[in-house]
Amino acid sequence: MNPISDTMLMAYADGELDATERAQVEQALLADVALRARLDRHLALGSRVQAAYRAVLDEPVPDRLLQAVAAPLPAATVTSLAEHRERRQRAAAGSDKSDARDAWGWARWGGMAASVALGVLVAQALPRLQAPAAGDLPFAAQGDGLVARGAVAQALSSQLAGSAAAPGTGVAVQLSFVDREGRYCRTFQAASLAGLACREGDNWSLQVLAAGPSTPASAPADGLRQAASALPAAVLSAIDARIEGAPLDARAEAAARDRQWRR
Amino acid sequence: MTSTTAFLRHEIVHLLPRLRRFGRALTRHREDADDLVQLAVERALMRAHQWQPDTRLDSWLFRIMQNAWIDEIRARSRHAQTFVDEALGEQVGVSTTDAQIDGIAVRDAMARLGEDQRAAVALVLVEGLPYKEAAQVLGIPIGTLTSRLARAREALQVMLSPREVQA
Repeated sequence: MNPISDTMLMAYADGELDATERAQVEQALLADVALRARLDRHLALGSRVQAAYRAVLDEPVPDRLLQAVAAPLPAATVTSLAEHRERRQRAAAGSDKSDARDAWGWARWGGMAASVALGVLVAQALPRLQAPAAGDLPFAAQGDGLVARGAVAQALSSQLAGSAAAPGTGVAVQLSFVDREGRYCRTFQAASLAGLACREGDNWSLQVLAAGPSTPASAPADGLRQAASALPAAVLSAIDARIEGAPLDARAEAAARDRQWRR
Repeated sequence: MTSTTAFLRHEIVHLLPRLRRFGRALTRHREDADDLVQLAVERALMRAHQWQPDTRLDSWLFRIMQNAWIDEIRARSRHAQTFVDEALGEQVGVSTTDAQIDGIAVRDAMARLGEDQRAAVALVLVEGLPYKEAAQVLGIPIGTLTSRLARAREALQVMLSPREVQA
């Protein structure tokens, strides 16, 4: 029998041989210690190389990549990594955040399709986000998406916006508005998550969820509603796509709460 | 939003960890890797109509990443940019185990491979693509892929084996 070439041995290690060829290699392996040693070297290297990149799979996916999947197509064609690096450095330098500080003029993202599918998309990315242990997650699957439960639901139903994170719930609510479908929607921050939920029947239906800052934003002492500037871009973008008119002022919000967020 | 684009968005979300892993194997820097993924996602969505539904989506995305990376390499060599090896810097402050130390050595060795060889290893050994798929991603015959893979493996064995005498 011909000796097994290194090419064939590697193909065997990579699972590329058909049944006949596999049998040939395996028969040779039985008789040839040196061949077994060569195979072990290939398998060992393969394991080491795989292991060296294993940790990346377990990392939480950066927010900007989730946004890239969900965001509307950019107006300009993206041509190079250099352009990306520039955009990223500009965003980090804060120049892209300046628009967001104007409470009534969010940076326009061109309007996303206001579909539940988009909410589901991000909600399905949930396991990859840095979230507390699964048992702590105050969300539940319902139909195609997620609804708020527990502390988040309670905060959305009863807390007024702009107040600091309530000691009881640990949830902060930033702002409330009416969306284009006529639903009340509210932003929230809880632990390391931030999101937007809209009232549907008896539930707060999650529209978007993103990794947020570790401490919830709270209103400065003068009471101005600027807490929302600390929300992640994905949530700001979702607001922009849905908001009808301006966010509710304190009076309108209290009235909405008293009506249990029904219109 | 067309239905193909919506479908792609849905599928790509679940592929992001693997795309990031491939990016990390291909490039030397964490930020380059994520920049590459972001660019590929945006390009893929703009070219949604080009993807054939009966073909592997991951291969298509790897191909977009690989091509973008080649463009980047060429641009950098034109501007004579030098690579800073960040491998050790990334690990500062992180408690290390043997596996993590070995990981540093492997990633460092990978970074020292030629681009062609590294891409072959990233697709076959890291991402587990069959030869046929990997060859298509790279736009080369299967024979060329296997010989690049063989040379890469030899080079890695030399770099990673402490008992080998390095010339």
